[in-house]
Amino acid sequence: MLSTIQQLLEKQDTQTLTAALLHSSRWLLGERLHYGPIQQRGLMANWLDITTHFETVELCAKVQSGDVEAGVFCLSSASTTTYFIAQCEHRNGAIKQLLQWVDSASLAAHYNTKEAPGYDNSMSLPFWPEPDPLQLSEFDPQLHLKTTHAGINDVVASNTSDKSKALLSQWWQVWQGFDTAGIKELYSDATHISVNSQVLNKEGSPSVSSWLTQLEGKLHRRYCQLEQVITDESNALVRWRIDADLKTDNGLIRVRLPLATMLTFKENKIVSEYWVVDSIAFEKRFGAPLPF
Amino acid sequence: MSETSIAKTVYWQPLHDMLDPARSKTQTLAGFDEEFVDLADYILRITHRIWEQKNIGACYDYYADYCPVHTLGGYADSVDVVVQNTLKTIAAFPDRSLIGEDVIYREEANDVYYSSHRITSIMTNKGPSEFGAPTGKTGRVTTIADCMCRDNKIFYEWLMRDNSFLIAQLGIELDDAAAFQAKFPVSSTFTQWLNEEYARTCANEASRWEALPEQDKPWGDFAKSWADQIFNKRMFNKLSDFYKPNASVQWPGGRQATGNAAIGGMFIKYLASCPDANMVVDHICVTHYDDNRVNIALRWGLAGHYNATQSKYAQFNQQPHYILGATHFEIEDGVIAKEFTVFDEVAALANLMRKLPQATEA
Repeated sequence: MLSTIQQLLEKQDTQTLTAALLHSSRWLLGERLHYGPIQQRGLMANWLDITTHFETVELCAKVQSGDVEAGVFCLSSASTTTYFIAQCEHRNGAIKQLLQWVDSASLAAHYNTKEAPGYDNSMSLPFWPEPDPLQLSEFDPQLHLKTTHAGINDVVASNTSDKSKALLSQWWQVWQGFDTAGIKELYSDATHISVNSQVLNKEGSPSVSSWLTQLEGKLHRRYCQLEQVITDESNALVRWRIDADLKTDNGLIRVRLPLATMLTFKENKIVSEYWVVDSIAFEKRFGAPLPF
Repeated sequence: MSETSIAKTVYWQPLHDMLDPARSKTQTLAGFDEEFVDLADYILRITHRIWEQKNIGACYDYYADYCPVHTLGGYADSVDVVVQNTLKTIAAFPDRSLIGEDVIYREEANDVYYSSHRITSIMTNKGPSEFGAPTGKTGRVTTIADCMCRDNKIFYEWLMRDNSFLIAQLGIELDDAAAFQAKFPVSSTFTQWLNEEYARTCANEASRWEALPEQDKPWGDFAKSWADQIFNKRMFNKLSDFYKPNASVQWPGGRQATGNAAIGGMFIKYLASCPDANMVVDHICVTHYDDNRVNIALRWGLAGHYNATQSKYAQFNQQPHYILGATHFEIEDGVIAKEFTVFDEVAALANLMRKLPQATEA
């Protein structure tokens, strides 16, 4: 059903997606859940506006398992590349849930540059949704041995291969367990790994290990939680979140960073990995920019 | 359980099928109009007719003349008041949609059907409302309506709405909304009900309800044990007996937690506002979604003494405090995968301002 999104973006086909959405379908964008035809039409109109600023739309990676399908979309123009990840829960042609995480910072920079004759690279989009209200509670982030913390084996489907489980567990150990030494086993020099539009391990950009160090160093009392993992033989979408303390101009605040990471793997190595974080949603919600 | 259970059909149901169900009749529904194929269909269609088609007068067809409706903010028992309140709400939020997320129900004795209906509404505040002047803003809210139905009519209802989540989107502060509500007098029947519910819940006396069918009894025990272990005994290391490691929990006011660590933190923080709280489960319904998924609805009360977790509410410390709440669980592999808990924090704070309940301490 990702094709309905592709058709919307490439052919401005609003009707196919509209027909697939149910009365009770929910659509996440900008960390806000939208329901009903009025809100759905508004979102479609905004996407159509966005696509006028890009030349191509490409589905870069995809995973499907049971009723769930997810993919990384790449919006490109001569000067920029913006990624977003979409996930669909669907059955018999009907979409119950459509979740989207967008590199909104890159989108805003490109959108505003094109929109205004002068150069306006502000980190805002006039139509980006206000995130849903969120009340965070403090909790103990320590991984006590006798308490339960979600691991890969707890969240993958029972039919996931042992090979995939082992690789994803290793991946989780790197990012959740701050295992910098594990990076070499998991990634090769040829791995494409991007965090939003920034490609890591390239000249002038951080290495994978310095990205991990930034996460650990700038997000204090960091706790990583797996939400959902969708896998097939060589791809996985990992939905996860980091709850942490963030130093801001107004002191230390508790924040939540929702993350969507799409992995493609081959022979126990990761071939490509796309991270998407909605920076505008984060800033709107917490009144502070992402620290990296 | 068949592939096409009613619960699964409702989950994936397009609007045209909701308005004209294709599934065959599987419940007797004695005394109900022939057009309804099961209780979920009855609840979904009458809700659509009253709220979305704006046939407010249809309340006279689907509510008994005498129908007690309990909320944490007030009490009504006549169909005329139900009609008037529906009209006022639609005037305040003219585009309010009522999207049925789930209907968890059971057949009880004497041709009574009990339904717990979870609804998501999108609504724009265009007129004066129970929270004050119109804001013009659009918000989303979750409601759980527990209804007892017989002979094609609802004759008893408990209504729980996550108003603190709604007002946060409308740009209204919790204290302002509660102070606005507290200005309005409440009936003596409401005060009496609140006092009695408080006393009963403190005394750990569940209201009497019919035993679950044999196949669902383990789920009833599970739900009661959840209340007892987590809320009454505060055994947060037991969370993994009840929740999947990646379970997601939605509580009022935008509290959202995934995983045992965050869920435990959320419950501890909430209970700190009523540290001697006692929870009593007053009703349980179970529907089977498929072989591996069961949906459970609980209606519960929580009572104790208020303890402010923000200094601005310290004036209410040690006052009796009562919450009427409802929870829907989606159970997978024998434990909770998703939880939706709803209660009205605006009304709860307004009641503290009114110094209600006026409990006679045991």
